[in-house]
Amino acid sequence: MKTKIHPKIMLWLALHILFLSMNTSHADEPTVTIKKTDRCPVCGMFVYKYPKWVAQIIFKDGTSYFYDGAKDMFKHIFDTAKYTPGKSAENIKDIYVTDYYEVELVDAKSAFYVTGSDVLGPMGHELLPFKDQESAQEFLEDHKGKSIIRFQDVTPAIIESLDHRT
Amino acid sequence: MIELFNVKKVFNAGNPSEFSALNSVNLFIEENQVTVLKGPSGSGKTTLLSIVGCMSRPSAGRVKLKGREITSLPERFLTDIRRKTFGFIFQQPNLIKGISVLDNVMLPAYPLGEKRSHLKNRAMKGLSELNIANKAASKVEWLSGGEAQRASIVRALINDPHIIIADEPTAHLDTKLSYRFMEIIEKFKSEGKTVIITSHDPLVYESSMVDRVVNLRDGQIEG
Amino acid sequence: MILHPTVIANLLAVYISSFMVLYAVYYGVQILKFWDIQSGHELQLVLERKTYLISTLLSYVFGLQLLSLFLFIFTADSLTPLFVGAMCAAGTLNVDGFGYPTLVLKIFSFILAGLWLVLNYADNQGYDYPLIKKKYLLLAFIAPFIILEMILESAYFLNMKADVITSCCGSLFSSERVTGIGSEIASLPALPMMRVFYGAMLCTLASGFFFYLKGLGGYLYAAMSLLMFIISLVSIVSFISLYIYELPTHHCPFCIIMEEYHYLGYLLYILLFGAVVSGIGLGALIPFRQVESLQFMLSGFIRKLALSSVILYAAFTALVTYEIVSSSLVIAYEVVY
Repeated sequence: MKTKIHPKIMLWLALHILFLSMNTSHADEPTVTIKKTDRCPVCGMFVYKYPKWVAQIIFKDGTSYFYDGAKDMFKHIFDTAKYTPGKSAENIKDIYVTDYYEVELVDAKSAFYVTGSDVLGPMGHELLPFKDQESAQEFLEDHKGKSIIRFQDVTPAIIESLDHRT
Repeated sequence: MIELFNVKKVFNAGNPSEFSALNSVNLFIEENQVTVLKGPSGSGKTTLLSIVGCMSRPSAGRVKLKGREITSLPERFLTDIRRKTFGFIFQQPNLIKGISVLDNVMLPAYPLGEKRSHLKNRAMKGLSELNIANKAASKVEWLSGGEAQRASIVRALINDPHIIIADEPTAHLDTKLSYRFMEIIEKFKSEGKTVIITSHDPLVYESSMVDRVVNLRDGQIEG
Repeated sequence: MILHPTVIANLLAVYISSFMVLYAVYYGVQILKFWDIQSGHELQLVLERKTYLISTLLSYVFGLQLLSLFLFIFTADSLTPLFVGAMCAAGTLNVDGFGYPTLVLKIFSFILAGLWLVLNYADNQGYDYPLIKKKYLLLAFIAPFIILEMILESAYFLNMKADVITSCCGSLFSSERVTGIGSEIASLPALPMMRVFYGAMLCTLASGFFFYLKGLGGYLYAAMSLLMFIISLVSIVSFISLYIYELPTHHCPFCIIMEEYHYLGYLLYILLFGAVVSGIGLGALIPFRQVESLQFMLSGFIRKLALSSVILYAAFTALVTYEIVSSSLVIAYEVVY
């Protein structure tokens, strides 16, 4: 009898430990409570209307901003004081973007961005974020994407070219 | 007092059934006189009367009332003048069934917004002058022909109009009542009012109190 | 064409208006040529009857015209989800080249329609149609604008394609792009513009009050109310919008009509348009104060228009001030866009 219960209890314990550890790792992920009044500081759009495109920046002083796409998020980074006077890009703590396939927030600095695809975001032509190279590649092939770039590759010129595409 | 210049009235203009009721009528009606418009059926008497009384507009021509041109007035101004200047007596009493004699008599004064108690007093006074005060609360269906006619006269007088217009008033009255009616007309004249009557009743147009008889035939004045 | 109920309503309204205006102009021309209140001619009497009908019809048509400006903006706002890149009416108006011209023309015809209604009301108070020729002359002047508006509005809606990417209001009214009047107004510095707005408003209100009390300076007030109207529209783009949105770079004059901003824009625009129409309206009526048949009422009516205009402008200013004061945005001298 003891040998029969043991594996089950072990399994039960293992599952609980796994579950709890998953819970603790949740604390590192951002709390995505978007209020109805949250607007993208770059274009003024109401972010709650576009949950699949949300990007977020959290500053060291605790303030956070939401965006309706990775493009606007980059615009804010490149000219932080213009859209939020008194703040600068050095004081940014965390940046998150929404993976296009998984629809969950991932770290922006480690994400893969597809440009030139035929999928349009709320702001028109966008950088589509993916959490890994494979899903980015798959998307590029499916949607006629032009290139996959990393966070540090994004420049104001690339952003502007996205804006001026028709 | 009342002047008509080249008044024409055409019904159904442009249609095959076009009918010219009045053709170029020029008329001057004196103040404080009893004028009778006489003529056969279809001569345009009632049409002319309704134009004089601001009830309809001519197709051409102008009408002046005490020097003031009335045919071009916008509707709301015309209604105001009609309400205050004219009292209408028709062939039939045309009292409204279902309401009392008193209510019928007060009706033309409602749009003027007078205090109800004052109006009621005036109405009762008018009714008693014609000896039907006792019928004030009665329903109009219970009145005899003569009483109904007298009620309609009181109604015509409720706004103390300067001009009385009567269209074939004795058509449904017997001789005795017709004479009574003419006595009432004489009273109007003595009060300074102007009276215009259409009639083809000799009792009316041959009466001594009539100052002028205008003969109408086929929409035009004869003689 | 997009078969949205608002689009159909707009087109229906503008076609009905145009048709009725053309019908009215036909008789208006006859009235202008043949009207002679003294003559008892048959034509004159026919015209007298006709003008009664036409004035009534036109009152409703121009009343509809007043509403249609707001319906148009509402439509542009409702169609936003259909166009990529649009988040408010600004984007929808930009989907083809006819959107903004239609809007400008609609604003123009709103003011003219309001003017006609004021003139018509005064004309109806006189017993001898004292302003009839002026009224139909104004109608003849307005008619081509209504027709042009119909053409532009039809072109706008019929050319609309759903697969167009349009500009967002953030870029249309951004201070960065040097081209386009939206950017030029948006890049007007906010604090100096605020001083201009309040200064001009003070002068306008003072002039209005002076006219209301003394009866002098009516033309001055009419001119000032028109100028104030333009300054107010510019101010909305330049700085008022910033305070309402609490975003230092968002100048769009159309986002303020959205539900999320409690439809504030509609109220602001209704106050503003009402103020300018009554202001210009009184200016149009001043020359007729000596007309005999209007003697008893015109001065009183003009004063009422002046008071309405002043009150509406004051309410507009109060609302704007409230938004500025209660906003969490602070515009400092250096950080001005």
